[in-house]
Amino acid sequence: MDHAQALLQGARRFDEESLVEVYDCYSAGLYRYALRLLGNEDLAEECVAETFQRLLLALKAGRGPQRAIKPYLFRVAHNWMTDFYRNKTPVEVALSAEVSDQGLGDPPGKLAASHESVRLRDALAQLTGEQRQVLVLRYLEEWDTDEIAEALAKSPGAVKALQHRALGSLRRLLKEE
Amino acid sequence: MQSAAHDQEVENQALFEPLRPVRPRNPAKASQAREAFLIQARQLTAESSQVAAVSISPFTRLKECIETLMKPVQRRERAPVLTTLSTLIVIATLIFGGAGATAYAAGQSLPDETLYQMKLFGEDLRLRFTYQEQARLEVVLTYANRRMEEIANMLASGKAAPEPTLTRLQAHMEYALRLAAQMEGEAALQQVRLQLQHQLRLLEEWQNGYPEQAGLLLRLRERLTEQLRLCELGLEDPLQLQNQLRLRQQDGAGPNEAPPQGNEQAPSPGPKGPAPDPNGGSLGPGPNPEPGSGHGAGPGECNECEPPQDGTGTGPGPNPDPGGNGDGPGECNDCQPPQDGTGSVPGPNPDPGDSHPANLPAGETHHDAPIPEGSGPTTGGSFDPGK
Repeated sequence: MDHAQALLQGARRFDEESLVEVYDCYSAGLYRYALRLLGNEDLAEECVAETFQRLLLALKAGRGPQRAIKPYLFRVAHNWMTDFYRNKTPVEVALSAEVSDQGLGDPPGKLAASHESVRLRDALAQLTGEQRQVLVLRYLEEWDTDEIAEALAKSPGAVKALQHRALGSLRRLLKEE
Repeated sequence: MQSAAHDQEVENQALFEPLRPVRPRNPAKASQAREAFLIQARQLTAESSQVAAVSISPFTRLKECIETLMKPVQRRERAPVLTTLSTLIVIATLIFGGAGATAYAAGQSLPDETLYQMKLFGEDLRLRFTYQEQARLEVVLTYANRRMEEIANMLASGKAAPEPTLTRLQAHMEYALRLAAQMEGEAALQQVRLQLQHQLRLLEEWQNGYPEQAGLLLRLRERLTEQLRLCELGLEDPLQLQNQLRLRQQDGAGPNEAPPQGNEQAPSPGPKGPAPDPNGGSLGPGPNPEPGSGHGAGPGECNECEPPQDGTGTGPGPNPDPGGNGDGPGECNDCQPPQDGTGSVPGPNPDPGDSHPANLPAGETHHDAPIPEGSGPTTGGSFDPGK
Protein backbone atom coordinates (compact mmCIF):
# COMPACT_ATOMS: atom_id res chain seq x y z
CA MET A 1 0.00 0.00 0.00
CA ASP A 2 1.53 3.36 -0.93
CA HIS A 3 1.83 6.21 1.51
CA ALA A 4 -1.19 8.14 0.23
CA GLN A 5 -3.39 5.07 0.62
CA ALA A 6 -2.01 4.38 4.08
CA LEU A 7 -2.73 8.00 4.99
CA LEU A 8 -6.28 7.68 3.74
CA GLN A 9 -6.82 4.50 5.73
CA GLY A 10 -5.41 6.16 8.82
CA ALA A 11 -7.66 9.17 8.35
CA ARG A 12 -10.69 6.93 7.94
CA ARG A 13 -9.80 5.30 11.25
CA PHE A 14 -9.62 8.79 12.71
CA ASP A 15 -6.00 8.22 13.65
CA GLU A 16 -4.80 11.61 14.90
CA GLU A 17 -1.34 11.31 13.45
CA SER A 18 -2.78 10.59 10.01
CA LEU A 19 -5.26 13.44 10.25
CA VAL A 20 -2.49 15.87 11.21
CA GLU A 21 -0.40 14.70 8.31
CA VAL A 22 -3.34 15.15 5.94
CA TYR A 23 -3.81 18.69 7.19
CA ASP A 24 -0.15 19.57 6.95
CA CYS A 25 0.13 18.02 3.53
CA TYR A 26 -2.83 19.67 1.84
CA SER A 27 -3.86 22.82 3.70
CA ALA A 28 -1.22 25.08 2.13
CA GLY A 29 -2.16 24.04 -1.40
CA LEU A 30 -5.84 24.44 -0.63
CA TYR A 31 -5.27 27.88 0.80
CA ARG A 32 -3.33 28.96 -2.27
CA TYR A 33 -6.06 27.60 -4.54
CA ALA A 34 -8.79 29.37 -2.59
CA LEU A 35 -6.87 32.64 -2.39
CA ARG A 36 -6.27 32.70 -6.13
CA LEU A 37 -9.97 32.32 -6.82
CA LEU A 38 -11.42 34.34 -3.97
CA GLY A 39 -8.80 37.11 -3.80
CA ASN A 40 -9.35 37.50 -0.07
CA GLU A 41 -7.21 35.99 2.68
CA ASP A 42 -9.93 35.72 5.28
CA LEU A 43 -12.27 34.02 2.84
CA ALA A 44 -9.50 31.66 1.79
CA GLU A 45 -8.91 30.75 5.44
CA GLU A 46 -12.63 30.19 5.89
CA CYS A 47 -12.74 28.00 2.81
CA VAL A 48 -9.86 25.87 4.08
CA ALA A 49 -11.37 25.55 7.55
CA GLU A 50 -14.75 24.61 6.17
CA THR A 51 -13.24 22.09 3.76
CA PHE A 52 -11.37 20.26 6.48
CA GLN A 53 -14.36 20.39 8.78
CA ARG A 54 -16.45 18.72 6.10
CA LEU A 55 -13.76 16.12 5.66
CA LEU A 56 -13.84 15.31 9.36
CA LEU A 57 -17.63 15.11 9.47
CA ALA A 58 -17.72 12.91 6.40
CA LEU A 59 -15.05 10.58 7.77
CA LYS A 60 -16.86 10.36 11.07
CA ALA A 61 -20.04 9.35 9.28
CA GLY A 62 -18.18 6.64 7.41
CA ARG A 63 -18.24 8.64 4.18
CA GLY A 64 -15.67 10.95 2.64
CA PRO A 65 -12.90 10.11 0.16
CA GLN A 66 -12.88 6.52 -1.01
CA ARG A 67 -9.75 6.48 -3.16
CA ALA A 68 -7.71 9.64 -2.64
CA ILE A 69 -7.85 12.58 -0.26
CA LYS A 70 -6.38 15.38 -2.37
CA PRO A 71 -8.97 15.41 -5.20
CA TYR A 72 -11.74 15.10 -2.61
CA LEU A 73 -10.49 18.13 -0.68
CA PHE A 74 -10.22 20.27 -3.78
CA ARG A 75 -13.67 19.20 -4.89
CA VAL A 76 -15.15 20.21 -1.55
CA ALA A 77 -13.30 23.53 -1.66
CA HIS A 78 -14.51 24.16 -5.19
CA ASN A 79 -18.11 23.48 -4.15
CA TRP A 80 -17.76 25.74 -1.13
CA MET A 81 -16.53 28.60 -3.30
CA THR A 82 -19.30 28.11 -5.82
CA ASP A 83 -21.89 28.14 -3.03
CA PHE A 84 -20.25 31.19 -1.52
CA TYR A 85 -20.69 33.22 -4.69
CA ARG A 86 -24.16 31.91 -5.25
CA ASN A 87 -25.31 33.00 -1.76
CA LYS A 88 -23.71 36.40 -1.61
CA THR A 89 -24.95 39.55 -3.32
CA PRO A 90 -22.58 41.19 -5.79
CA VAL A 91 -22.06 44.09 -3.36
CA GLU A 92 -21.07 41.76 -0.52
CA VAL A 93 -18.63 39.95 -2.76
CA ALA A 94 -17.07 43.15 -4.08
CA LEU A 95 -16.62 44.46 -0.56
CA SER A 96 -15.06 41.25 0.65
CA ALA A 97 -12.52 41.01 -2.17
CA GLU A 98 -9.19 42.72 -2.04
CA VAL A 99 -6.44 42.95 -4.56
CA SER A 100 -3.67 40.52 -3.79
CA ASP A 101 -0.44 42.25 -3.09
CA GLN A 102 2.11 40.89 -5.49
CA GLY A 103 5.02 42.39 -3.62
CA LEU A 104 6.07 44.77 -6.36
CA GLY A 105 8.08 47.74 -5.30
CA ASP A 106 6.68 50.58 -7.38
CA PRO A 107 3.08 51.68 -6.90
CA PRO A 108 2.27 51.99 -10.67
CA GLY A 109 3.68 48.54 -11.31
CA LYS A 110 1.76 47.18 -8.36
CA LEU A 111 -1.44 48.79 -9.60
CA ALA A 112 -1.03 47.39 -13.12
CA ALA A 113 -0.34 43.90 -11.84
CA SER A 114 -3.30 44.15 -9.48
CA HIS A 115 -5.58 45.20 -12.30
CA GLU A 116 -4.43 42.25 -14.39
CA SER A 117 -5.09 39.78 -11.61
CA VAL A 118 -8.55 41.22 -10.99
CA ARG A 119 -9.31 41.10 -14.68
CA LEU A 120 -8.22 37.47 -14.93
CA ARG A 121 -10.08 36.51 -11.77
CA ASP A 122 -13.27 38.15 -13.05
CA ALA A 123 -12.94 36.34 -16.36
CA LEU A 124 -12.44 33.03 -14.55
CA ALA A 125 -15.53 33.79 -12.48
CA GLN A 126 -17.58 33.85 -15.66
CA LEU A 127 -16.62 30.37 -16.69
CA THR A 128 -18.53 27.37 -15.50
CA GLY A 129 -17.38 25.85 -12.23
CA GLU A 130 -15.73 22.88 -13.88
CA GLN A 131 -13.99 24.99 -16.51
CA ARG A 132 -12.63 27.26 -13.83
CA GLN A 133 -11.51 24.35 -11.74
CA VAL A 134 -9.70 22.59 -14.56
CA LEU A 135 -7.82 25.72 -15.62
CA VAL A 136 -6.76 26.68 -12.12
CA LEU A 137 -5.66 23.16 -11.23
CA ARG A 138 -3.81 22.78 -14.52
CA TYR A 139 -2.10 26.14 -14.93
CA LEU A 140 -1.82 27.48 -11.40
CA GLU A 141 -1.66 24.40 -9.21
CA GLU A 142 0.15 22.48 -11.98
CA TRP A 143 -1.72 19.24 -11.57
CA ASP A 144 -1.45 16.68 -14.34
CA THR A 145 -4.46 15.56 -16.34
CA ASP A 146 -4.94 12.33 -14.40
CA GLU A 147 -5.05 14.15 -11.07
CA ILE A 148 -7.56 16.65 -12.42
CA ALA A 149 -9.65 13.82 -13.83
CA GLU A 150 -9.77 12.27 -10.36
CA ALA A 151 -10.83 15.57 -8.78
CA LEU A 152 -13.56 16.19 -11.32
CA ALA A 153 -14.61 12.53 -11.56
CA LYS A 154 -14.14 12.60 -15.31
CA SER A 155 -12.01 10.73 -17.80
CA PRO A 156 -8.66 12.27 -18.81
CA GLY A 157 -10.03 12.77 -22.31
CA ALA A 158 -13.01 14.67 -21.01
CA VAL A 159 -10.69 16.83 -18.91
CA LYS A 160 -8.62 17.71 -21.99
CA ALA A 161 -11.77 18.60 -23.91
CA LEU A 162 -12.99 20.71 -21.01
CA GLN A 163 -9.63 22.40 -20.73
CA HIS A 164 -9.62 23.21 -24.43
CA ARG A 165 -13.09 24.75 -24.30
CA ALA A 166 -12.31 26.59 -21.10
CA LEU A 167 -9.21 28.19 -22.59
CA GLY A 168 -11.20 29.27 -25.63
CA SER A 169 -13.87 30.83 -23.46
CA LEU A 170 -11.31 32.53 -21.24
CA ARG A 171 -9.46 34.07 -24.16
CA ARG A 172 -12.72 35.29 -25.60
CA LEU A 173 -13.70 36.89 -22.31
CA LEU A 174 -10.33 38.57 -21.92
CA LYS A 175 -10.48 39.86 -25.47
CA GLU A 176 -13.90 41.35 -24.86
CA GLU A 177 -12.40 43.49 -22.13
CA MET B 1 3.99 20.42 -34.95
CA GLN B 2 5.50 19.63 -31.57
CA SER B 3 7.04 23.06 -31.46
CA ALA B 4 3.66 24.67 -32.22
CA ALA B 5 2.03 22.69 -29.41
CA HIS B 6 4.85 23.67 -27.08
CA ASP B 7 4.51 27.34 -28.01
CA GLN B 8 0.79 27.13 -27.43
CA GLU B 9 1.36 25.63 -24.02
CA VAL B 10 3.83 28.38 -23.12
CA GLU B 11 1.25 30.95 -24.21
CA ASN B 12 -1.39 29.25 -22.07
CA GLN B 13 0.89 29.32 -19.05
CA ALA B 14 1.59 33.01 -19.62
CA LEU B 15 -2.13 33.74 -19.60
CA PHE B 16 -2.27 32.85 -15.92
CA GLU B 17 0.82 34.75 -14.86
CA PRO B 18 -1.12 37.55 -13.09
CA LEU B 19 -2.56 35.04 -10.63
CA ARG B 20 0.60 33.04 -10.09
CA PRO B 21 2.19 35.06 -7.29
CA VAL B 22 0.34 34.56 -4.07
CA ARG B 23 0.92 36.35 -0.81
CA PRO B 24 2.28 33.89 1.76
CA ARG B 25 -0.20 32.68 4.32
CA ASN B 26 -0.28 34.50 7.61
CA PRO B 27 1.61 32.13 9.95
CA ALA B 28 -0.46 33.05 13.00
CA LYS B 29 -3.73 32.39 11.18
CA ALA B 30 -2.36 29.17 9.70
CA SER B 31 -1.35 27.98 13.15
CA GLN B 32 -4.74 28.89 14.63
CA ALA B 33 -6.52 27.05 11.84
CA ARG B 34 -4.39 23.95 12.37
CA GLU B 35 -5.10 24.03 16.08
CA ALA B 36 -8.83 24.40 15.46
CA PHE B 37 -8.73 21.41 13.12
CA LEU B 38 -6.97 19.29 15.73
CA ILE B 39 -9.42 20.28 18.44
CA GLN B 40 -12.32 19.37 16.22
CA ALA B 41 -10.78 16.02 15.30
CA ARG B 42 -10.25 15.22 18.98
CA GLN B 43 -13.81 16.26 19.82
CA LEU B 44 -15.20 14.01 17.13
CA THR B 45 -13.02 11.14 18.32
CA ALA B 46 -14.28 11.65 21.86
CA GLU B 47 -17.89 11.70 20.65
CA SER B 48 -17.35 8.45 18.77
CA SER B 49 -16.05 6.78 21.94
CA GLN B 50 -19.09 7.95 23.88
CA VAL B 51 -21.53 6.71 21.26
CA ALA B 52 -19.94 3.27 21.28
CA ALA B 53 -20.76 2.95 24.95
CA VAL B 54 -24.47 3.67 24.42
CA SER B 55 -27.00 0.80 24.27
CA ILE B 56 -27.70 -0.98 21.05
CA SER B 57 -29.87 0.64 18.41
CA PRO B 58 -33.65 0.33 18.53
CA PHE B 59 -33.60 -1.71 15.31
CA THR B 60 -31.20 -4.26 16.78
CA ARG B 61 -33.36 -4.54 19.87
CA LEU B 62 -36.47 -5.18 17.78
CA LYS B 63 -34.69 -7.67 15.56
CA GLU B 64 -33.46 -9.61 18.57
CA CYS B 65 -36.97 -9.56 20.00
CA ILE B 66 -38.44 -11.00 16.81
CA GLU B 67 -35.70 -13.63 16.64
CA THR B 68 -36.39 -14.61 20.25
CA LEU B 69 -40.11 -14.93 19.55
CA MET B 70 -39.44 -17.02 16.48
CA LYS B 71 -37.08 -19.49 18.15
CA PRO B 72 -39.68 -22.06 19.28
CA VAL B 73 -41.32 -21.89 15.86
CA GLN B 74 -38.03 -22.27 14.05
CA ARG B 75 -37.40 -25.62 15.70
CA ARG B 76 -40.62 -27.08 14.35
CA GLU B 77 -41.49 -25.08 11.27
CA ARG B 78 -39.60 -24.33 8.12
CA ALA B 79 -38.97 -21.11 6.26
CA PRO B 80 -42.36 -20.46 4.58
CA VAL B 81 -44.32 -20.12 7.86
CA LEU B 82 -41.53 -18.22 9.50
CA THR B 83 -41.37 -15.87 6.54
CA THR B 84 -45.15 -15.34 6.50
CA LEU B 85 -45.30 -14.74 10.23
CA SER B 86 -42.38 -12.38 10.31
CA THR B 87 -43.79 -10.55 7.30
CA LEU B 88 -47.12 -10.15 9.08
CA ILE B 89 -45.32 -8.86 12.16
CA VAL B 90 -43.43 -6.35 10.03
CA ILE B 91 -46.62 -5.14 8.32
CA ALA B 92 -48.51 -4.86 11.60
CA THR B 93 -45.58 -3.01 13.11
CA LEU B 94 -45.43 -0.69 10.17
CA ILE B 95 -49.13 0.10 10.28
CA PHE B 96 -49.73 0.30 13.99
CA GLY B 97 -46.32 1.03 15.39
CA GLY B 98 -45.33 4.51 16.58
CA ALA B 99 -42.39 6.63 15.61
CA GLY B 100 -38.91 6.03 16.95
CA ALA B 101 -37.74 2.43 17.16
CA THR B 102 -40.41 0.96 14.91
CA ALA B 103 -39.88 3.57 12.23
CA TYR B 104 -36.14 2.95 12.14
CA ALA B 105 -36.65 -0.80 12.16
CA ALA B 106 -38.86 -0.54 9.08
CA GLY B 107 -36.23 1.65 7.46
CA GLN B 108 -33.97 -1.36 7.03
CA SER B 109 -35.89 -2.52 3.95
CA LEU B 110 -34.21 -1.02 0.90
CA PRO B 111 -35.73 0.02 -2.44
CA ASP B 112 -34.32 -3.00 -4.22
CA GLU B 113 -35.69 -5.51 -1.70
CA THR B 114 -38.90 -7.48 -1.74
CA LEU B 115 -40.48 -5.99 1.36
CA TYR B 116 -39.98 -2.44 0.22
CA GLN B 117 -43.34 -2.00 -1.49
CA MET B 118 -45.03 -3.35 1.60
CA LYS B 119 -43.14 -0.85 3.63
CA LEU B 120 -44.39 2.00 1.45
CA PHE B 121 -47.90 0.62 1.58
CA GLY B 122 -47.68 0.51 5.36
CA GLU B 123 -46.45 4.10 5.43
CA ASP B 124 -49.37 5.32 3.33
CA LEU B 125 -51.83 3.46 5.50
CA ARG B 126 -50.35 4.84 8.65
CA LEU B 127 -50.51 8.39 7.39
CA ARG B 128 -54.07 7.87 6.24
CA PHE B 129 -55.06 7.01 9.80
CA THR B 130 -53.20 9.92 11.37
CA TYR B 131 -55.51 12.90 11.65
CA GLN B 132 -53.92 15.47 13.89
CA GLU B 133 -51.73 17.88 11.90
CA GLN B 134 -48.70 17.86 14.13
CA ALA B 135 -48.74 14.07 14.21
CA ARG B 136 -49.00 13.95 10.42
CA LEU B 137 -46.07 16.28 10.14
CA GLU B 138 -44.00 14.09 12.47
CA VAL B 139 -44.89 11.01 10.45
CA VAL B 140 -44.01 12.57 7.12
CA LEU B 141 -40.71 13.88 8.43
CA THR B 142 -39.97 10.41 9.77
CA TYR B 143 -40.61 9.01 6.30
CA ALA B 144 -38.26 11.60 4.84
CA ASN B 145 -35.59 10.43 7.28
CA ARG B 146 -36.18 6.88 6.15
CA ARG B 147 -35.69 7.88 2.52
CA MET B 148 -32.38 9.51 3.46
CA GLU B 149 -31.29 6.36 5.28
CA GLU B 150 -32.26 4.21 2.32
CA ILE B 151 -30.27 6.40 -0.03
CA ALA B 152 -27.29 6.36 2.33
CA ASN B 153 -27.40 2.58 2.53
CA MET B 154 -27.67 2.17 -1.22
CA LEU B 155 -24.75 4.49 -1.83
CA ALA B 156 -22.64 2.80 0.83
CA SER B 157 -23.31 -0.55 -0.83
CA GLY B 158 -21.99 0.79 -4.10
CA LYS B 159 -25.45 0.95 -5.66
CA ALA B 160 -27.01 3.86 -7.46
CA ALA B 161 -29.34 6.13 -5.54
CA PRO B 162 -32.71 5.08 -6.95
CA GLU B 163 -34.49 7.97 -8.58
CA PRO B 164 -37.97 7.01 -7.30
CA THR B 165 -36.60 7.21 -3.77
CA LEU B 166 -35.15 10.65 -4.41
CA THR B 167 -38.51 11.71 -5.86
CA ARG B 168 -40.31 10.33 -2.85
CA LEU B 169 -38.05 12.21 -0.51
CA GLN B 170 -38.80 15.44 -2.27
CA ALA B 171 -42.52 14.65 -2.15
CA HIS B 172 -42.33 14.04 1.60
CA MET B 173 -40.66 17.39 2.19
CA GLU B 174 -43.09 19.16 -0.12
CA TYR B 175 -45.96 17.65 1.80
CA ALA B 176 -44.36 18.56 5.12
CA LEU B 177 -43.88 22.12 3.91
CA ARG B 178 -47.52 22.43 2.89
CA LEU B 179 -48.67 20.96 6.18
CA ALA B 180 -46.44 23.30 8.15
CA ALA B 181 -47.63 26.27 6.09
CA GLN B 182 -51.17 25.80 7.25
CA MET B 183 -50.36 25.19 10.89
CA GLU B 184 -50.41 27.99 13.38
CA GLY B 185 -47.18 29.40 14.72
CA GLU B 186 -43.64 28.99 13.48
CA ALA B 187 -42.69 25.78 15.19
CA ALA B 188 -43.76 23.51 12.33
CA LEU B 189 -41.94 25.52 9.68
CA GLN B 190 -38.85 25.63 11.85
CA GLN B 191 -39.01 21.88 12.21
CA VAL B 192 -39.21 21.48 8.44
CA ARG B 193 -36.42 23.97 7.97
CA LEU B 194 -34.10 22.11 10.34
CA GLN B 195 -34.74 18.89 8.53
CA LEU B 196 -34.13 20.43 5.12
CA GLN B 197 -30.87 21.96 6.32
CA HIS B 198 -29.70 18.62 7.65
CA GLN B 199 -30.67 16.86 4.42
CA LEU B 200 -28.85 19.41 2.31
CA ARG B 201 -25.68 18.99 4.36
CA LEU B 202 -25.85 15.23 3.89
CA LEU B 203 -26.54 15.53 0.18
CA GLU B 204 -23.51 17.70 -0.26
CA GLU B 205 -21.38 15.12 1.53
CA TRP B 206 -22.74 12.41 -0.70
CA GLN B 207 -22.07 14.45 -3.81
CA ASN B 208 -18.46 14.79 -2.75
CA GLY B 209 -18.12 11.18 -1.68
CA TYR B 210 -19.93 9.64 -4.63
CA PRO B 211 -19.15 11.82 -7.64
CA GLU B 212 -20.67 9.31 -10.05
CA GLN B 213 -24.04 10.07 -8.45
CA ALA B 214 -23.43 13.82 -8.36
CA GLY B 215 -25.89 14.66 -11.14
CA LEU B 216 -28.91 13.01 -9.53
CA LEU B 217 -28.02 14.21 -6.06
CA LEU B 218 -27.47 17.72 -7.33
CA ARG B 219 -30.95 17.90 -8.84
CA LEU B 220 -32.46 16.75 -5.57
CA ARG B 221 -30.33 19.23 -3.70
CA GLU B 222 -31.58 22.06 -5.89
CA ARG B 223 -35.18 21.13 -5.23
CA LEU B 224 -34.69 20.83 -1.51
CA THR B 225 -32.90 24.17 -1.56
CA GLU B 226 -35.97 25.68 -3.17
CA GLN B 227 -38.14 24.14 -0.47
CA LEU B 228 -35.83 25.57 2.16
CA ARG B 229 -36.16 28.97 0.57
CA LEU B 230 -39.93 28.67 0.74
CA CYS B 231 -39.70 27.59 4.35
CA GLU B 232 -37.67 30.63 5.23
CA LEU B 233 -40.10 32.78 3.29
CA GLY B 234 -42.92 31.32 5.35
CA LEU B 235 -41.14 32.22 8.57
CA GLU B 236 -40.95 35.83 7.43
CA ASP B 237 -44.25 36.11 5.60
CA PRO B 238 -46.72 33.24 6.01
CA LEU B 239 -49.19 34.68 3.51
CA GLN B 240 -46.51 34.95 0.87
CA LEU B 241 -45.66 31.31 1.41
CA GLN B 242 -49.30 30.36 0.98
CA ASN B 243 -49.39 32.24 -2.32
CA GLN B 244 -46.21 30.62 -3.54
CA LEU B 245 -47.43 27.16 -2.65
CA ARG B 246 -50.71 27.83 -4.42
CA LEU B 247 -48.83 28.93 -7.53
CA ARG B 248 -46.58 25.91 -7.36
CA GLN B 249 -49.56 23.66 -7.20
CA GLN B 250 -51.18 25.35 -10.16
CA ASP B 251 -47.95 25.16 -12.13
CA GLY B 252 -47.57 21.51 -11.27
CA ALA B 253 -44.35 22.18 -9.39
CA GLY B 254 -42.88 19.56 -7.12
CA PRO B 255 -42.49 15.95 -8.11
CA ASN B 256 -45.36 14.52 -10.11
CA GLU B 257 -48.13 16.18 -8.21
CA ALA B 258 -51.59 15.22 -9.37
CA PRO B 259 -53.91 18.16 -9.97
CA PRO B 260 -55.59 18.97 -6.68
CA GLN B 261 -58.94 17.34 -6.29
CA GLY B 262 -61.82 19.26 -4.88
CA ASN B 263 -60.74 22.56 -3.48
CA GLU B 264 -58.09 23.98 -5.77
CA GLN B 265 -57.15 26.81 -3.49
CA ALA B 266 -54.51 26.35 -0.92
CA PRO B 267 -55.93 26.48 2.58
CA SER B 268 -55.85 29.96 4.03
CA PRO B 269 -54.54 30.42 7.53
CA GLY B 270 -57.30 30.21 10.06
CA PRO B 271 -58.96 27.75 12.37
CA LYS B 272 -57.92 24.22 11.77
CA GLY B 273 -60.36 22.07 9.93
CA PRO B 274 -60.42 18.36 9.28
CA ALA B 275 -57.16 16.83 8.13
CA PRO B 276 -56.73 17.08 4.39
CA ASP B 277 -56.76 13.99 2.22
CA PRO B 278 -53.13 12.89 1.84
CA ASN B 279 -53.78 11.57 -1.65
CA GLY B 280 -55.33 14.65 -3.10
CA GLY B 281 -57.22 17.69 -1.97
CA SER B 282 -55.58 20.91 -1.24
CA LEU B 283 -52.26 19.46 -0.31
CA GLY B 284 -51.78 17.46 -3.45
CA PRO B 285 -50.84 13.81 -3.57
CA GLY B 286 -49.75 11.67 -0.67
CA PRO B 287 -46.15 11.30 0.27
CA ASN B 288 -45.50 8.19 -1.80
CA PRO B 289 -46.41 9.28 -5.32
CA GLU B 290 -45.42 7.05 -8.17
CA PRO B 291 -42.79 8.69 -10.28
CA GLY B 292 -44.54 9.95 -13.34
CA SER B 293 -43.38 11.18 -16.65
CA GLY B 294 -42.68 14.64 -17.77
CA HIS B 295 -40.40 16.58 -19.96
CA GLY B 296 -37.28 18.24 -19.02
CA ALA B 297 -33.63 17.61 -18.78
CA GLY B 298 -32.03 14.27 -18.32
CA PRO B 299 -28.38 13.56 -17.86
CA GLY B 300 -26.00 12.29 -20.43
CA GLU B 301 -27.61 13.48 -23.63
CA CYS B 302 -26.54 16.83 -24.82
CA ASN B 303 -26.70 18.68 -28.08
CA GLU B 304 -25.12 21.75 -26.59
CA CYS B 305 -21.44 21.09 -26.99
CA GLU B 306 -19.21 21.03 -30.01
CA PRO B 307 -16.47 18.53 -30.44
CA PRO B 308 -12.97 19.95 -30.16
CA GLN B 309 -11.06 20.07 -33.40
CA ASP B 310 -7.81 18.76 -32.05
CA GLY B 311 -8.85 15.18 -31.53
CA THR B 312 -9.01 15.38 -27.75
CA GLY B 313 -12.64 14.36 -27.60
CA THR B 314 -13.88 11.55 -25.44
CA GLY B 315 -15.87 9.49 -27.85
CA PRO B 316 -16.69 8.94 -31.49
CA GLY B 317 -18.66 11.64 -33.24
CA PRO B 318 -20.89 11.13 -36.23
CA ASN B 319 -18.00 11.35 -38.67
CA PRO B 320 -14.93 10.72 -36.62
CA ASP B 321 -11.65 11.75 -38.09
CA PRO B 322 -9.75 8.53 -38.75
CA GLY B 323 -6.80 10.21 -37.15
CA GLY B 324 -8.55 10.71 -33.84
CA ASN B 325 -11.80 10.94 -31.95
CA GLY B 326 -14.08 13.75 -31.12
CA ASP B 327 -17.23 14.34 -29.16
CA GLY B 328 -20.27 14.11 -31.33
CA PRO B 329 -23.60 15.60 -30.50
CA GLY B 330 -25.46 13.50 -28.00
CA GLU B 331 -22.41 12.11 -26.21
CA CYS B 332 -20.94 14.41 -23.66
CA ASN B 333 -19.22 13.90 -20.34
CA ASP B 334 -18.76 17.57 -19.72
CA CYS B 335 -22.08 19.23 -19.46
CA GLN B 336 -25.47 18.68 -18.01
CA PRO B 337 -28.57 19.77 -19.84
CA PRO B 338 -30.36 22.78 -18.39
CA GLN B 339 -32.72 22.17 -15.49
CA ASP B 340 -35.48 24.45 -16.71
CA GLY B 341 -36.97 22.00 -19.17
CA THR B 342 -35.37 23.56 -22.18
CA GLY B 343 -33.10 20.61 -22.74
CA SER B 344 -33.57 18.71 -25.95
CA VAL B 345 -34.09 15.29 -24.44
CA PRO B 346 -36.78 14.21 -22.00
CA GLY B 347 -35.49 12.94 -18.70
CA PRO B 348 -36.88 10.18 -16.48
CA ASN B 349 -38.50 12.15 -13.66
CA PRO B 350 -37.84 15.77 -14.20
CA ASP B 351 -39.58 18.61 -12.48
CA PRO B 352 -41.24 20.82 -15.07
CA GLY B 353 -42.01 23.59 -12.65
CA ASP B 354 -38.58 24.34 -11.31
CA SER B 355 -37.35 27.82 -11.71
CA HIS B 356 -33.85 28.23 -12.93
CA PRO B 357 -31.38 31.03 -12.54
CA ALA B 358 -31.78 33.03 -15.68
CA ASN B 359 -28.08 33.45 -16.19
CA LEU B 360 -27.22 29.77 -16.32
CA PRO B 361 -26.10 29.01 -19.87
CA ALA B 362 -27.33 25.88 -21.55
CA GLY B 363 -25.75 22.74 -20.33
CA GLU B 364 -24.64 24.01 -16.93
CA THR B 365 -25.54 22.68 -13.52
CA HIS B 366 -25.42 24.35 -10.15
CA HIS B 367 -21.75 23.73 -9.61
CA ASP B 368 -20.92 24.18 -13.27
CA ALA B 369 -22.65 27.49 -13.43
CA PRO B 370 -20.70 30.65 -13.86
CA ILE B 371 -20.73 32.92 -10.89
CA PRO B 372 -23.51 35.48 -11.31
CA GLU B 373 -22.52 38.50 -13.31
CA GLY B 374 -20.67 41.14 -11.45
CA SER B 375 -20.21 39.00 -8.39
CA GLY B 376 -16.58 38.08 -8.91
CA PRO B 377 -13.97 39.91 -6.90
CA THR B 378 -13.52 43.32 -8.27
CA THR B 379 -12.01 46.60 -7.29
CA GLY B 380 -15.09 48.35 -8.56
CA GLY B 381 -13.55 49.37 -11.86
CA SER B 382 -15.17 49.57 -15.22
CA PHE B 383 -15.17 45.87 -15.95
CA ASP B 384 -18.56 44.77 -17.20
CA PRO B 385 -18.93 41.01 -17.46
CA GLY B 386 -22.19 41.45 -19.28
CA LYS B 387 -20.52 42.81 -22.43
